[in-house]
Amino acid sequence: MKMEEVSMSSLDNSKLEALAQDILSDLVEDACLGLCFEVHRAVKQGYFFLDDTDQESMRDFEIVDQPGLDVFGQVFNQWKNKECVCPNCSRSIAASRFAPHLEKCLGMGRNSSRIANRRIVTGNNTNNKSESDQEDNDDVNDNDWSYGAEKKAKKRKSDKNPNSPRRSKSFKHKSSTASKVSQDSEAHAPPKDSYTAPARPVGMMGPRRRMDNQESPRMLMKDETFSQ
Amino acid sequence: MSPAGCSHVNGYKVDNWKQNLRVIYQCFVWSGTAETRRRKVLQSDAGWTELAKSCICHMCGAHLNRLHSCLYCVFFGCFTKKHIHEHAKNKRHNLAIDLLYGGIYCFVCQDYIYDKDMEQIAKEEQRKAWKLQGIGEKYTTWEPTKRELELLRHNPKRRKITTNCTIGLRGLINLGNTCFMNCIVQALTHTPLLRDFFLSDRHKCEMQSNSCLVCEMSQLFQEFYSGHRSPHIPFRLLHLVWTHARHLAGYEQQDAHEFLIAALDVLHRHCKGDTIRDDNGKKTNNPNHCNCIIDQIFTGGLQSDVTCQVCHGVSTTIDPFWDISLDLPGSSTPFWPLSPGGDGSTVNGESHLSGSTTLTDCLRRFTRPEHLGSSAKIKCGGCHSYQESTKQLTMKKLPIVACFHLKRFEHSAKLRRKITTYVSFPLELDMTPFMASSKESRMNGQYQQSVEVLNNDNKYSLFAVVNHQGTLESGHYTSFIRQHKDQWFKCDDAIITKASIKDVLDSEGYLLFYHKQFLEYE
Repeated sequence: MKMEEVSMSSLDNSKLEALAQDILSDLVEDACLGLCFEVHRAVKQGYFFLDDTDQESMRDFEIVDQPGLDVFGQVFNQWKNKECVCPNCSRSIAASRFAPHLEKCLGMGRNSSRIANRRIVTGNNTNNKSESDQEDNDDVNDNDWSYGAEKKAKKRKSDKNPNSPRRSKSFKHKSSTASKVSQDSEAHAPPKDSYTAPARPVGMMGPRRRMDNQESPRMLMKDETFSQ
Repeated sequence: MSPAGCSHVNGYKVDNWKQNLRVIYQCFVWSGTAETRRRKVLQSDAGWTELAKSCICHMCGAHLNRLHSCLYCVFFGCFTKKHIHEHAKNKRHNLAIDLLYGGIYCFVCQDYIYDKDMEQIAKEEQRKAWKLQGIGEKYTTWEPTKRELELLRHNPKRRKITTNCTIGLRGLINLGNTCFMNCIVQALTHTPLLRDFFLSDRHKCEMQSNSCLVCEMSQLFQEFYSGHRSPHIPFRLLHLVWTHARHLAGYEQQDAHEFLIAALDVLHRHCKGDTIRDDNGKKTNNPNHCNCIIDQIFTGGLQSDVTCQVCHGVSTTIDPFWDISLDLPGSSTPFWPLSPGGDGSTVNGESHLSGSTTLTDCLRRFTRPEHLGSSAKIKCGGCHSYQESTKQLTMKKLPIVACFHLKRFEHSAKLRRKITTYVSFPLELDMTPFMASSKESRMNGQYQQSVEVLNNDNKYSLFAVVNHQGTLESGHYTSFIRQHKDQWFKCDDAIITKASIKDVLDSEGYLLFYHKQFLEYE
């Protein structure tokens, strides 16, 4: 079709409509051509087959929406016996008790230093048995205590009185004053074999907040500020 | 030569062919400037050289019909009427270019061919034209390399992630009250940009030991997309986070929000290998300009304006943030009215509006001008003395993922309790009214509706909600996450079930994760 100059004012409505129709069909044709080129290129370059999927295995992954089952079609609560290997002491631990184990293993818990104290004291009091025998017995008897942490506790023995309350670094960050009071009383009590439960329920999910306000120092990079 | 090319182009690739080809693309295919576009369409200009006539078929005068230009000489012919074919035969010019899409046609092969060098030129010219037109970068789909194609061909058992697919979902074993961590992991693994970053292997580790949290994160994504149905045991993750964020360790006291911030912090610190290099290829070591994926996704800028009540001078600071902590009605600090002397009723701290408090109410309160009082006078730079002032917070820069933290746990000197006030939050959120740029219209504390319907920059979509059930002393965290457009799932440690949008919106809400709806290339 040749191009010609047409004055818009000379056209009536039906001619305008015909023109609009022409333009639209040209645009649609161009768009279709673009799609054809895309497919043509994909086939020629060899990546057109990528869209093919394995239908059978796709069916395996369909979402399940039935009561009593999770999205994979599995019954709830069948994962009781999962185990994992502690990265610190390399022992095999039940997954659902890994967190309390790790806490003691890394020497971070409230009780870790206390237990370490107790061991060191009882270890010093026995003269007949060799030190290594004592350690072996302890290992066999106590599931939660790891050898690694024991070593750590021993290192610190030289600089402090074994009976004094020892705190790991994390204690400094605990905000609740109630917990500090109970720690003090425990540390000063004579070492016992059985461990009494603390005032607040351990092992319960407590969302304790240390930093309560917006200005907590996560990444503060203040520009020049006014002096307060 | 690429497999889709042909040997017949070799005859063309002589002398100054690259420049000639560029001119053709610039003038006739992707006209960048208005001038070239005009020349493409109109009759020949008086001031133009004889090098090229206007873009019409030299044989029939048509300007449509899939016009092609000969690559060897100045000839335009339409494809539909085979005029370009005739020219090719007569002159033995066997290459032509389609002026609509820039494809190269070889008359010997009788097909469009794709030559690597020529396509390179085409792409560059197209980019230039877009830039001139103000379009900027456009999204292009991924194309596999030869090696990738080979690998894919050898592995025909492929799965596509459709809307009805569980791939990307996985339960997490509770390691002993670690539900706070499991919820944050679910939120992070369902952050689209983070997922794309890790699944396309963008992390280059520079840490010597095995203690890189970003590597572990990468491993986590592999686990989530592995197709395994049994829940994952995130013990390594717990170990790494406790090692690198010692203040968190100890398993009785854990808050999901605190864990999120600590995790983001460690990830940000460990991302050093992925920082952007400047023009000289040197790494930008400046901590203020870290461009790691964590910063790109989560870091926003909070503007704080302190206005002196005497001279009205404003002192502005901008601080980076990863989350916004919002006060709630029912806490010991009064929530209403939102503005000093504003239109809120203070009876029992209830909202004067019918219905519950909304997230928008909380955001309005967060960005309200606050009179600092006579006991907190600020030294004004203008007045050179201590004066009373007002302070106002607004969003200077919004992050791609905005995390809102509803302050449900009160830890003041007297009170320690959980605030269970229901706060309704939307699926889609427009942050425009809370931007620093919108501040002028709200200086008087008037909260008008923004009329900017066309501004898409500040629109956000909810994609994850972390909830806490129970009391301050004991409770349980669960989360809702969004996969695909409108499918929500409830994550309760190892149990993943389908959830309705109503379930999500009716939940109490503790951490709300919103994702920017429209992303632009920078």
